[in-house]
Amino acid sequence: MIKVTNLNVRVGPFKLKNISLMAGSGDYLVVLGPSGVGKTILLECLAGLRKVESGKIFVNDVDVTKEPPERRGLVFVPQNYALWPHMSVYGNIGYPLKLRGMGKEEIRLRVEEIAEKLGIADLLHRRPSALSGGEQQRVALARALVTKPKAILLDEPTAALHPSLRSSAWRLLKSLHKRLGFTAVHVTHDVAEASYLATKAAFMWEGKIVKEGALEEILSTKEASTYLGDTNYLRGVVKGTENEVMLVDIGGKVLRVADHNFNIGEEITLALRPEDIVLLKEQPHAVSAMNIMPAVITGIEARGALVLIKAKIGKSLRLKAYVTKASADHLGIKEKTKIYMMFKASALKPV
Amino acid sequence: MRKVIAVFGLVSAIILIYLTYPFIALLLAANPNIIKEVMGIREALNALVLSLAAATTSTLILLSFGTPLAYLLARHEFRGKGLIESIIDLPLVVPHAVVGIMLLSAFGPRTTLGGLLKSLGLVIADSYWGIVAAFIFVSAPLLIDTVREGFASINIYLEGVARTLGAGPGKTFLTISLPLAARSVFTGSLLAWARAMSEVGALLIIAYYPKTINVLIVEWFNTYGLGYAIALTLVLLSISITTFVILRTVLRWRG
Repeated sequence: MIKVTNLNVRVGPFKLKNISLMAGSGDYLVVLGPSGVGKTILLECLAGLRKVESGKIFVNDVDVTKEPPERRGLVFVPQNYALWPHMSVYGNIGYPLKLRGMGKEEIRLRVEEIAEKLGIADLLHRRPSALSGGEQQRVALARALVTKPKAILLDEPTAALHPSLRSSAWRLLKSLHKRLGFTAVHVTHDVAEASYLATKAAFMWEGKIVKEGALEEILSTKEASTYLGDTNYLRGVVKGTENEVMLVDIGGKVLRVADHNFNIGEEITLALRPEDIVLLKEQPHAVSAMNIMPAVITGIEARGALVLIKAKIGKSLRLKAYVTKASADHLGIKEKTKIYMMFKASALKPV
Repeated sequence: MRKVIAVFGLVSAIILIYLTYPFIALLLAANPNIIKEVMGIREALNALVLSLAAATTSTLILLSFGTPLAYLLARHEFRGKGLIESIIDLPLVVPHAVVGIMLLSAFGPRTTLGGLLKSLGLVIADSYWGIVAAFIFVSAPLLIDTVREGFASINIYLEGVARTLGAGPGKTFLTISLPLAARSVFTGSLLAWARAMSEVGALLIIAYYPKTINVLIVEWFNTYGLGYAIALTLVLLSISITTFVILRTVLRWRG
């Protein structure tokens, strides 16, 4: 468990301001935010690689704020993976075990075990310079996980990969997290990455954590909208298919999605653009759109020539939609107004 | 563009000829009979061995004291860092004879520090350790600056990750930083050794005796003329250049 309270850090003119965060044991906390908001600095502080001005960092309820990196039990995986070029893959993974005074045979067994789990058993005698980006990432993860640390700190771990490899890297991280149950703090600027991996999320903006909680909650903040636009990101579980349309449960509401390349029970994140949602005063009949649901308006914001309508569907589903000012007037939209929201199954795009 | 390259090529050729021609002239002026005679003179052999030993000793001492300093300068910001960097580079601009006078003023037998060192059995003036002291002084900037650049070029996370994996600062330095800077440490040592081998000005003041090969060249030039000085110079040059080439080749091979 990692807990951060009121952390303040100054790096030249840049400041991290009053950061408070919590990643419970086994949590996969994703800190989302654009580049330059201090995400890497935050990880460096957690790792003990950077001094803090004030505030506290706790690991498993022990105050480690003033402890050096080697006594924190938190392993840092930087964006460039920082594999040591003068050692083989075996040497890299075995290094932390050697530090712990293990014998050669025990090191061999542990290295081979983790290498097997990460699918890099045939790379052990290679030098890092002879590895592809994806292989380097696996080696860095193996080195980080081989000692079973209290948590791992991942700094944009897929940013250095070719875009075509990113989704497989996410699957790897997710399956490792599921199998090994480690605690992770992962920073990224990529909302798709965050939505795929996070069991808990935080949004960072200009040196501050503006919101911590479920992904849907952090994406509903004004700062997240400024960064990501008003696209809706919905996370749910595949329930089945019906006439080649996939049924996805999102917080108790079943949405119909025009995609059936996912397995039942699989977690999925869907993107829905606000301009693809139609608002109606009354429930429509005989329309082609497959997702129609009653909603209550919770907020109205100007967006140039458009109006952004925030609405709540059921207890936990929140959506944002654009309408023109004329349409908003015509529908008599005000807060707490009851309306219907409608969108096509093809408007929901798996991320 | 072609015109510019032609002009640059011509200018480059002039400077390269200027740098190469003295070596050719030295070879052309050499008398094989005198070289043969010189190689049989015991004094010359002793001077050569002394130069090699003192240059190696000074490089090893510099490595021991200069490497930690280079690491501190590469990795830490502190008050007075600029001043320290200036002090390290100072020997580059001090005339060689002045270095001898400075060392004599600091560690000469009539100074307090010199007297203290003498009571510990370490005489600086006209001794092996005087030669080593002069060599250390003149070659320090080359070793420290090269090694510092080597440490500074290591990605900070290569060390940071080792720390988070459980290595203390000392272990991280020995197992990560030093091996990664090995090439710079080797190059710095090579430059420092070569610089030491070429020093004579400071030695004429602080340690004329025991005679190193460079001092002997100056002495023979004054006593026996250019022919003997050239013969001795060629012996020194061939050893220095051969050593330099071998070490550079090893360095390239390892790189």
